[in-house]
Amino acid sequence: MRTLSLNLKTPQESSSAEAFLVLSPRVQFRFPHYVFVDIESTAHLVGGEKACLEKALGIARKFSAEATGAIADTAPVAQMLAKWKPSFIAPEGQESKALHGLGLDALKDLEGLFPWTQKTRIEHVISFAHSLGICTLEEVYNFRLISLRERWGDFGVLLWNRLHSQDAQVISPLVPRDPLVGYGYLDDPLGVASLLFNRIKPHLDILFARLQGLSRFAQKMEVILHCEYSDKKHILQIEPVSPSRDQELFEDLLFKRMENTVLENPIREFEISIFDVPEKVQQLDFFEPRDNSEDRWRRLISFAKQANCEMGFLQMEANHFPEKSFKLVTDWPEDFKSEDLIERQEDNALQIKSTYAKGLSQSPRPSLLLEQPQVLSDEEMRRIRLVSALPSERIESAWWQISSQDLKYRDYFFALSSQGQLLWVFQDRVSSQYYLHGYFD
Amino acid sequence: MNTLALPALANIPFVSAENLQPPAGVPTGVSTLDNFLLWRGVPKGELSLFQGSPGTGATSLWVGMTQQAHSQNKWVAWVNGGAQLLPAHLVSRQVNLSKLLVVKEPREAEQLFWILQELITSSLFEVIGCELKEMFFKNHQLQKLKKLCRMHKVALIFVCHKASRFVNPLFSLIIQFQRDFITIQRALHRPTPFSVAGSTINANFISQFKNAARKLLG
Repeated sequence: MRTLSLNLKTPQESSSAEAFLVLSPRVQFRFPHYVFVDIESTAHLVGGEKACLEKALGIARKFSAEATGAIADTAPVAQMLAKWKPSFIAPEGQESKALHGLGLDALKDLEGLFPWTQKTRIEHVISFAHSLGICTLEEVYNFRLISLRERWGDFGVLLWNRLHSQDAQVISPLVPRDPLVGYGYLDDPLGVASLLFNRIKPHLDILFARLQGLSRFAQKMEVILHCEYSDKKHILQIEPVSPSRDQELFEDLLFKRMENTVLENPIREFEISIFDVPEKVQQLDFFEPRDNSEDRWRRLISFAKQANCEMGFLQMEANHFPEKSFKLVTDWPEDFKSEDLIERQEDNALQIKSTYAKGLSQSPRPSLLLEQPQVLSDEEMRRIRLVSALPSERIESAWWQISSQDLKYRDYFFALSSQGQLLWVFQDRVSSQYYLHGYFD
Repeated sequence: MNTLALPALANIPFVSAENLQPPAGVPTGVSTLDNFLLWRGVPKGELSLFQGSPGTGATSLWVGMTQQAHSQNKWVAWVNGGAQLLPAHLVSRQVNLSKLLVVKEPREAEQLFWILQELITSSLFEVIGCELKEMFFKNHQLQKLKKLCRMHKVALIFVCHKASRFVNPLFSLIIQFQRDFITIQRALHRPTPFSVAGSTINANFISQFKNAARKLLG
């Protein structure tokens, strides 16, 4: 089992292992600052062990500038190499060659996932070897199992196993559980946005490295700045238009927000929390939860279709008859431009295609339109009052469309009813009959 | 005196003024109304009722809210009842048609109830308007809708064309429209009835009439 070990040098939280999930699902963190990654089956995906080590070091430097790493067959040897031979890749199956030239102190780091239970015992082994005049690890390697067992019992067996790649330590897949939060306490409270931002940035680096490892997007970031005096706090919420993992964008937005915040009361503590959402990926399974709003509305529309209920968006049409000027579409409506189209033809000739409904956007239209014009009886006409003697608008169809439409010569009026309703009424010029067509509601 | 069952003064949690926030609402765009109502608009997660005969301005107020919701990039739904929304009017009031879902008038009352539940639970919409000729929903149906609205933080507004004197406590906000003035019949923590001049809502029509007059005069 090929194992990549990273020594982050400064104490970290166990959640930092999440950042290394990009290399392999089998990642384990060991207190205080060791990360072990099983790259046996995933190294070729990254481009070989060397590329894998470089990538891991790139991520590890976000946590600590002095981070080191190494690759070996077993976790204990990998940890030891990470400290004593940084960036060393032990040849597969020949781990013993990697021990060449190492001193006895290196034995203290031969731990892997399980540290030595007592440091005094390994120190005792080292001092005993020194007293025998043994100074290199290779010589300890040549001890036989029986002699180690005779002197140190089970501890000697464990030491021999670790030196001879016999101590199988299995790295289990990491199940991320920790929330994406960061916290910082400033020994000297800060009141300058740029200085404060520099203190916040390392935490952001870590949080975004974790987001990358979890392959999730940040939808919202909340930064709470606690002031030094009077328990005051500033809550800065950063929410870009769409979820992303663009750290620069979030940093930029945060910095601008901080610059606009009055920091006269200096900042002592800060908290950062990131609200994450899944990456937008292709829907693979019908039973997967659908988070996408477009999917949700499509589902809504298909439900409505099954129930014979029409539902959709209003799409404007180029027609001057109000009842024909729109229809319901289930796709996104196109933008309606009520302008004449000018087409350039060959030899610089122009052709203008006029749009019928050009004046539509300026002309007054009611908010509610009746599906069928409603006949107004004489009695009803007596109860309403036309606002003007002359019609406000005349709508006619063309002479060649006679058969397609009745009520094609219309004079529109505004009218007020006795109850204060504002109505849209038209008179058919053929029969002089009045009809109610809409409400200015 | 020692056994007086009062908590010690130090144990009473103190809420500072900046932690107090009004309950969430969708602004109507009419400042008089927004300032009067506790929610600074129409309450989110509650039922509201706009009532008045058609042509008195209820839809106009709803369109104003749609405009406000669209400016925040939120979606809005409308269920037709009797009449239908005319897009030419909506466009003239800067409503984004691609963020407004319109449902045609359902054939049965039961179907309308079902559609409203679907619309609310899809949690796509900030505001849902429903036009009704008269309020035919039973109280238990309204209770269910109210519960769903609470869960999904949706403002459900019934625009009812038949005004009723009865103030149903299931509605958190009831506004009655008569073109010249509108009356708020019920609103949380506010003295009601309260009347506002209708011109605050209908003012936007005047420009349209002016345009028409200009056209007539040539």
